[in-house]
Amino acid sequence: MGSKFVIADPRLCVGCHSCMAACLVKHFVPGDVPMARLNVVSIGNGMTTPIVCHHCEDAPCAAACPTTALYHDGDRVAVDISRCIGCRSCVIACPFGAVEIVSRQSTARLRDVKLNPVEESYVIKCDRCVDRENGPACIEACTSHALRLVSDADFRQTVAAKHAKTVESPQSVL
Amino acid sequence: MSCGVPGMEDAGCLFLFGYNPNTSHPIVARRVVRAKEKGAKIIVADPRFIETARIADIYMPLKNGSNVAFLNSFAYSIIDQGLVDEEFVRDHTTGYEDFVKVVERYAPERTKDITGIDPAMMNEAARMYATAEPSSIICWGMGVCQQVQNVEAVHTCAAIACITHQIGKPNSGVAPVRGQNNVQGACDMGALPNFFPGYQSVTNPEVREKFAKAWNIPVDKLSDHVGYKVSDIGHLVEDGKVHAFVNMGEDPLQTEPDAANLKRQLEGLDLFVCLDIFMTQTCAEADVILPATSWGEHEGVFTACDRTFQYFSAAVPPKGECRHDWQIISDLSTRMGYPMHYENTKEIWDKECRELWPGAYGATYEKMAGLGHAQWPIPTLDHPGSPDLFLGGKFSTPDRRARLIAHDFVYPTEMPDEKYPLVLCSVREVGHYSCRSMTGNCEQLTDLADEPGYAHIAPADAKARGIEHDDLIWVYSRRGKIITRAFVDDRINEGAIYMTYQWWIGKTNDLMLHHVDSRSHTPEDKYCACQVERIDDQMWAEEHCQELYMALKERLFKKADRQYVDSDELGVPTELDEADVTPDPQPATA
Repeated sequence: MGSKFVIADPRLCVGCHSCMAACLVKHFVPGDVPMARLNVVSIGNGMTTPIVCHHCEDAPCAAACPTTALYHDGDRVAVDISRCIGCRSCVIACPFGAVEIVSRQSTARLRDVKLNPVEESYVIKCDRCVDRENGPACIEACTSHALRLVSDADFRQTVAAKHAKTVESPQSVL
Repeated sequence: MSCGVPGMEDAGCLFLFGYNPNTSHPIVARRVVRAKEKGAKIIVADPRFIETARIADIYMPLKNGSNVAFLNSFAYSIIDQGLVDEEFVRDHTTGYEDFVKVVERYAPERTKDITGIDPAMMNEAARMYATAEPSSIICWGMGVCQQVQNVEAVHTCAAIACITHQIGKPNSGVAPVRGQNNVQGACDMGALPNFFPGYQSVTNPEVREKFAKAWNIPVDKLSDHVGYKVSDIGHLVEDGKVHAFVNMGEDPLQTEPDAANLKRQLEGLDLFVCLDIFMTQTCAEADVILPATSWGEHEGVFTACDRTFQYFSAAVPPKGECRHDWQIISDLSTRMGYPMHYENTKEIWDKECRELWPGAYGATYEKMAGLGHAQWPIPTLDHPGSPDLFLGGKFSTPDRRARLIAHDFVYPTEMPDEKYPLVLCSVREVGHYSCRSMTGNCEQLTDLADEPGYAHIAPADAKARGIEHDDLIWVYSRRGKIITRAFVDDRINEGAIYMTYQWWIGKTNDLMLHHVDSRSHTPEDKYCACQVERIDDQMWAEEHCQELYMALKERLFKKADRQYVDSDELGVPTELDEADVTPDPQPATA
């Protein structure tokens, strides 16, 4: 079973950041970190596109994680922020720059006694909105239909289309 | 706009001049992408390599503040290459000879040091624009309007459309997109010093007669001369010409240039009333604050920049003491001696707009119901509305001919010098809206982007000052000095700094020059001189920034808190008190 992930078409992206806002709102719940899991990046004269996790089948981030804060869950790489120790191995391992570690102050309580605030680390990465009824919030919010969810079936179709094109003009491979 | 926004997709060429749709109107940006997909040519002229420049056929990196020199050369190039539609000029325009007399002094070779544009590129762009089939559209935004020669540039843009006959046919002409939501609607309804609703001039006696009759007042009660413009309010107070100011939903101490000076000037008011939904820096200075309703709490009609009326309904009822703008205005008017009463917005729309503005008569609430719309001119009930203006080359002048006007180029008011070597230009970004009173009070959006904001700086300018991306920096001008963060941006030109005017701490308008043009009195927000400096102690700077932000929030919170204290003193029960005294319908069991 191949993984499914969100992919962006930079030709259609207008750089409006609506995907980031939608992602943040999805994570704006108690116990989560309100941050966008994808980042719209504009570089030089060529590119503007959101960078988002590919949910790699042989995910280097999950392989590098010593505490299974990142782990395989069926066709995606899942996140359990409570297990993150902030070692940043995943950040080093991810070739796309789609994983981040952030620190947040949290104040623990022992009954009525407020303990000293401590810095806690959290891994920030796309969870593909598996717990969301209508699928990824970013895709729904995209104003220019530049984002879509792709699966193995899509790739099979793309490859078939490329095969057909190649046969039509065989000089391209000769 | 002479065309509709959807029609932009079907033009053969879109010429974006001083307009960045991707940050100011992402929905229009999507249309530009679709136009490109359908085969349209895209020309972008902007000092920054804006998002649309990525998909442009020609990107023209003109220098800041060189608009009129650029447009004159563009017109020169059209004439020089024999691309003028002589028949259209002869039959539908006046003033061509005088127009040529001005632009013939602006050969692209002569202006290239002013505009930074290679003459060959100028010629290629002029040819692409003039020859595009079936039509071309010039789109402009604040990059034209907020310059010292704003009206001059608009005259030239319109003339360029006329001499090439890229106006007066479907999906063609001029597309000045608006700077804010419903600016078009405010202008339509006569929220201008020179017009009654529907662009009917206050200086025209027949028009005054008509409105006096409709409003049931003696005609001499209606002013026969053009009033003041809001951008002049500071000077008018200072000169003793304005004593009271009712400010509806604006935050001029954030959005007007040289804000610190404006604050000092407004202190001279005898009475300062603000209608708003949040405690803003401007509200904090007011004598009286009238709580208004937010976008989700009221209904009405917006006009899009392409003259399309759209009805919008309320999502939730108003809370607490908040009232709709039209209710507040009616009450103010009644207490000032002119009894004003309406039952609902439909009554206002029918009586004040449709009945008094012939061009909008067909735009009924029924037509706009649901997701319906109506595009003016729409003079009759069965009229379909008008996406395109000036069809067949019939213009709205008395002789139905377009007047061609050109102007000589004038440099911006405050040029960079040794002490302030950089150009400061105020722009927009996607994360927040306008003065940020709405989006800055939305937690999710401030999680995405928050104080002190960013100043975009070219890599070479940053390097020369030892500035790295995300460093906190000082930006200063002759007006003031503010702290902000550096965004080292390889998409902008050297020698210029770009900031948005939305940040309360990194407040661009404490730096901007207050200079308005003589015709429209629009501030020159796109150009003044500044300097940038790295802050050596970054730790201190981070703390300083937070302290300033906290202090401002606390000051505004305290001001807002007074509403509860005051109502206690007056013995007026607050919402909470009312809940407390409401008898519990359930019998107590304890």
